[in-house]
Parts: sequence; C-alpha cells; structure tokens
Amino acid sequence: MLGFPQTGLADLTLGHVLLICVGLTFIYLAIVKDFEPYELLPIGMGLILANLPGTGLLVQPQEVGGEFGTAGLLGILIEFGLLRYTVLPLLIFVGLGALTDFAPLIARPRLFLLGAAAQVGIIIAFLGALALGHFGIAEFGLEEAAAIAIIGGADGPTTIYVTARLAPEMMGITAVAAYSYMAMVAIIQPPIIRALTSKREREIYMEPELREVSKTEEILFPIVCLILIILLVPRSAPIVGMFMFGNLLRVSGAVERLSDTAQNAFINSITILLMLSIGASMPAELVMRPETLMVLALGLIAFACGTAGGVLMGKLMMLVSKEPFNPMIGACGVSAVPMSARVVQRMGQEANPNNFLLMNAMGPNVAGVVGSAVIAGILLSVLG
Amino acid sequence: MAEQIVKAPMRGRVIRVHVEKGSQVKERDRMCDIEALKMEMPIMAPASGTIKEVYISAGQEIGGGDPLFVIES
Amino acid sequence: MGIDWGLAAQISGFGFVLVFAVLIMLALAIWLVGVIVGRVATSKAEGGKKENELRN
Repeated sequence: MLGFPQTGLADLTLGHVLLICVGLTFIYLAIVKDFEPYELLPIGMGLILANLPGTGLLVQPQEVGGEFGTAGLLGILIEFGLLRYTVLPLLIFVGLGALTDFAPLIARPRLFLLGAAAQVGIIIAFLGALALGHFGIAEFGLEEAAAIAIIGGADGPTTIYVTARLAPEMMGITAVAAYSYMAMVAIIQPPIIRALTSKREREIYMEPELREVSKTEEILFPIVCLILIILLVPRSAPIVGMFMFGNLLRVSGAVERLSDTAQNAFINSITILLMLSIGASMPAELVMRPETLMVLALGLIAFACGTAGGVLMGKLMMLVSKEPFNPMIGACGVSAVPMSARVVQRMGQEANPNNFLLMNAMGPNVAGVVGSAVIAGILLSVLG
Repeated sequence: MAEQIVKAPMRGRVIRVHVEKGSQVKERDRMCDIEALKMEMPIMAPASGTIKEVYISAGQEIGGGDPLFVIES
Repeated sequence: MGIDWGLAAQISGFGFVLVFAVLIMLALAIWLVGVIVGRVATSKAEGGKKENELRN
C-alpha cells in the first residue's frame, strides 16, 4: 500500500519558521530595497526550501557499497559543489576575474600595500574567535576561527571556499555575513574613516586619472601574479588560478566570446547554483545556535578593523609619499568591489568637491581581492 | 571679474546638466552629473558666480580635461 | 577548549607578514614589468624614427 502523503506541518519547528521568515526577508530586501539582489534572492529562496520540512531536497548523496543512493537536488549541489569538492566558488572566480579591471593597480603598484594592510581585520577576528573558544563561550577551534575570520576579506566566494573546506557547517552563515557587510560598507566604513583621519587629510587632492596602462602590461599582470603567488603560497592556487585565468580571458583581446561568456552567462549560471546552495546549507538545525550571533559580531569586527588597518597604512603612505596621497583610499583595501571605492569617492567629494578619488580608490580595492586570496591560501595551507 | 574653466576630471559621460548660460551658482552647487567607472558623480561649482559658457549636453561623452563650463565670479 | 595558541600565533603573525611579503613582491614585479614594457616601447618608437630619418 502506498504511504499516505504526509504534510510537513507536523515537523515544522519554531526554528524552521524563523528561518523561513529570514528567507522571505532576504527576498524582500533583494526585490524592494535592491540590497545585494544577486546574492540575497537565491539565498533567501534556498533558506526557505531548506527549512520547509520533508522535501527531500536536502538529502545528500551517500556512498553505500560503492554506489550513491538517492539524493535531493540541493543535497547534490551542496555535496558536489561545496562540501566534497568545492567547485562552485572557484568557478565564480573565473567570472570575477573576467569582470575585474586591474589597470588602476597596474598604474600604481604600491597600492598593493593597502590591499595587504586591510587584511589585519582577518587576523583580529581570528584571534577574537579563538578567544571565545578558549574561554568556552563557543566551540571555535582554529578551523572555525579561520572560517569566521575570512569574512573580513570582504569577498563572498573566498569566504565560501575557505569555510567549506575548514568549517562546512558555517558555510551559509559566514557567506551571509560577508555579503551583508559588503552591502553595508557605506554604513560601516565612513565613521571609522572619519575617526582616523583629519579634515585636512580627507581633503588631499589626488590626480583623478592615472597613467595609461598598455595592453601588454594588462596581459602580463594576471600571468605574473598567478605564477608568483602560487609559487609562494601553493594552496592559494585554486582561488588565484581561477581569478587570474578569468582576468586573462578579459585582457587578452583574443577570446572575446569567452570573456563575454565568463562575464555574463557563465558567472550568472554559477551564481544561481552557488547562492541557492548557500541558502540551502542553512537548515534551522545548523543555524539556530548562539554561535551564529557570535559569527555575525566577529564578521563585523573584521570589516571594521580591516577598514582601520587600511586607513592607517594609507596614512603611513601619505607621510612617506612624494606625491599627494589621500589616506582614505586605504579603506578600499577591504575588497568590497566597487562599494568601498564608491564610499571613498563620495567622502572625498564631500571634503573637497573637485576631488575625484574613484580611480585611485579602485587600485587598493582590487588589490584587496588578491590580498584576501593570499591569506585564504595561507590559512588553508596550515589548517586545511 | 575672474573667469574659471571647469574641466572634466576624467573620461566619462554627461548624464544631465543642471545649469545653463546665465545661471547663478553658489560654491558647491551641482552643475552637472557625470558617469565614470560605472558611478554617477556630481560636478560642483568651484566658486560662486554666473555661468558664462556651457560646452556640454546630456549624453555627451567627455574626456579627462575637457572644458565643461566657464564661470565668471 | 584546548586551543593551540602557539599555532594560532604563528598563523596570525607569520601569516600576516607573509601576505605583506607576497604583495610587496607582486608590487615590485608589476612595477618592473611596467618599466620594461615602457623601455621596449620607447626603443621601438626611437628605432622607427631613426629608420624614417635614414630613409629621408
């Protein structure tokens, strides 16, 4: 006799209901408030699907006697795209590389320093998470702390990649934290920037346009970066390799169709799969714990300290530099591209209406992506 | 009476123009909005005065250093 | 919970320094590439000019 179809209502817990509401909120934010819609809409949907009971969507493929049993769509995506083989975030990087313009950084390579300094937020969050673990407030070991800390890299796919490899039960929450704070840099960064700089410093005028960067330099950039970084930090190869590959597609001028596809159809397709999976990786059982709030708090601390670190390095460079150097662009080392750069552009014009810092700000912004990829590689080589 | 040429800060596109020949502007008034590097940014008046010339119109592509306005103050 | 603070310190300290080291090397490498590409371009331009002068 066929089993009588069961409703899911019996298995619905308060936690499920709460997260379904969170998912609906994300969808609302995406559609009505235009708040990171490309991430929050699919994540919201994934959250809802993961928290409606009895769907079978989340059943992960288990190997039994050399064969895989039945599994749900989302379970398959999560298992094979994120957990067992962390493929989806890496493929996103191909698209991101194809979308990234490195010219402002090639024109002024010293801005790499700001991309490095802003990663201090990661270190501070790492130590903070470990402290919570040490005092028994949360079950955070080295791996969990690293996964939380990488939120400060302000890079969604990097966060997802590191967390999937080191602390997979936190994948969803660290990703949501990263994307949310990236969307909120316009609120998070200005007070910190203002606190660390004087009005005079914020007014410093920088030439809006940078020197012409030749095609050859643009082509050599991803190649040189890729080889150098991977030789020094081999475990960063998955992220850096895919990122620079994508960039090469863009700048080579020889593969327009591939570049176009990478920037559009490819990254959009992978985004759909990845974001849906990320949302689905957050069933109530994993999320409804006090640790979740601590992750959110530490993530915010990471962003704040990263901003501070970048601005302080910016001040150092201002003191040492022969040409005028506005320390605010240091905040863009927190690689929320291009949100951080826009924040600094606006603050720059507020202080000095003729000052257009945008292009200068893009340099540290894209350098920060490289910096966080390198730190991710370092964390993975020690802990992964 | 001093004349100032307001130039484009970088390569981009004019989105909309807020003033015309003869308009009175105060320092920091928005004269036009440009789009560069996918961001919309205002061009503000460097000083108070009268707009003597307007060289641009909405939708126009501009290069870094191109003259946009002449202000007489 | 037993945390290996020694390893944590290593990761934080050495890791942070390593990021700076890598990015400084990158900055130098990219700067060098810029210089070399610039020199090659200039010498090509000068080579072209000299050829024209010889022809005329």
